[in-house]
Amino acid sequence: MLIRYLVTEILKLRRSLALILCLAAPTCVVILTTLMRLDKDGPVSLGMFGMTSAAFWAFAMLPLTLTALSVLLAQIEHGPRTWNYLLTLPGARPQLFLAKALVMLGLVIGMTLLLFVEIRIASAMMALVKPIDPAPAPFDLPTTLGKMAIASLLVAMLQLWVALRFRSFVPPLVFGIAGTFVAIAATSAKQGIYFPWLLAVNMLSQPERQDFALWMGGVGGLAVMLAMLVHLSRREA
Amino acid sequence: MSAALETSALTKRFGKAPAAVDNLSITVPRRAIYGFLGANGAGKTTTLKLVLGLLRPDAGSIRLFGKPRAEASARIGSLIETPSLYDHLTGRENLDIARRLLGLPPREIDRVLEIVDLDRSAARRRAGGYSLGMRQRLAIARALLGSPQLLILDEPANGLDPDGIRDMRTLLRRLPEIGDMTLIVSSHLLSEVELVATHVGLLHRGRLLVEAPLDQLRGDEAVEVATADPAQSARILIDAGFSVVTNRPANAPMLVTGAQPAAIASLLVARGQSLSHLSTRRQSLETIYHDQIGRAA
Repeated sequence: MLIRYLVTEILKLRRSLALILCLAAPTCVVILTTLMRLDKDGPVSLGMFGMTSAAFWAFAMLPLTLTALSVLLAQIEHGPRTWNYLLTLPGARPQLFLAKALVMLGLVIGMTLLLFVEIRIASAMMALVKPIDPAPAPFDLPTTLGKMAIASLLVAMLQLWVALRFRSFVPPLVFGIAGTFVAIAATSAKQGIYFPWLLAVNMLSQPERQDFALWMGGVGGLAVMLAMLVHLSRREA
Repeated sequence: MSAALETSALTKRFGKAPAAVDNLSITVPRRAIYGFLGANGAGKTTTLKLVLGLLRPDAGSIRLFGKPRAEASARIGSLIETPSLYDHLTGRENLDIARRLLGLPPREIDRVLEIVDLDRSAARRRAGGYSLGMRQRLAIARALLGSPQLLILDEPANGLDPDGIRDMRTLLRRLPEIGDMTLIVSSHLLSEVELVATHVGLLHRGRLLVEAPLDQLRGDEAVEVATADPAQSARILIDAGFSVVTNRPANAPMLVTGAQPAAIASLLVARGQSLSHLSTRRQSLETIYHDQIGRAA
């Protein structure tokens, strides 16, 4: 039954704004960072270019995209009130919500892959028009982006929970924007490491902070997902 | 044979407000078209949501085809409140999603599209561009996937234009003929329900006022008779054993119950009475409704 729910959740993404967002968000980051690099004189460090792109992604675009994505995914059902149909079907309700969570997770992984591919394409294109700085990259790009995706699971599930709980798109939007803004203020704070919206950014800092953020984001995300499944499955439509 | 739906002392409250559904016991016989009537806020949708498992009852029980609700939920198709469709998908894609969730073969889509008379070119268009009538038909098509034995339609004619209402009526009448299907049609359009329902349940402030086959509720057919000399005509009919309703408003035609119009006409004409009006009439659902609501108040 979970497979059925998963397949239908994926089919619902056809022509949806959620899918367009997933294509647009990483592309925007790469276009912006590419323009910034091209604007500078001298050789281009591809390692730094990758790091700048990843930093933009983790700090601003990923949390804002998770906010918008959770809203758009939830509004696929809230907008036309399809819960009245979906929840009458025979089958376990937790599987329906689990399928939605897995699709959200899948889209985050998809955006991460797209970001990586686009950074590589942009790097190759820049090498054609600019001299390249041979200095090695300060970190392994695919590993870092992958860790960011895992660390963002906690925020992704918090956002999805709020978005599925409320029929209006305002509460999840306020929740996500507020989280991102608090994250900006908390960046330099000592306790900033614990703030869910900054967990992905921690992948660009010291290894011990990375490990902590990875665990908190991953395990915390799974715990929140379980709580969400229990809560939403018991709610009346 | 057990009923399609039986509720027993069903009760549902929202907060401290009076019960939305109060000790409700209804029985929907198999293969009936059950008109579930009541004003807005009477508790119709809440009852249907309880039957569908969208709400949990505070008290009482629900049995479907003799089994507890949860065991027979797969035998229900429904359209509650509005035709909830994915506007960014085509009609066919909407049905495909429901078909996959129910584990049905792809040919099931064509079957239900044919039943609701939605052509294939329309099914290839996005549901967001459908008229309300088409949306209702598509939502009913989705509810028909898997040939449910109980179809619950909440206000299916709401917001439709006259053509749409007529099409919906035709469709509802045809549905029980398609298979072993029972229909519950919730509505406040009494004239429409009167044209399709075989049974009626009337809800008022969460309580059931009356439940019966529609024919039984409307009573026997009466014949309205007007003549040049009503008093003489009435005496002739009473003497001949006809049942004449005498406490009628002034100038209203006389009402004769339990008789064929032809027998009344031939008797009166044979006795030299001059007939100016002869017609049959039954108690309308609207009359029954207002009568019952008036008594409850």
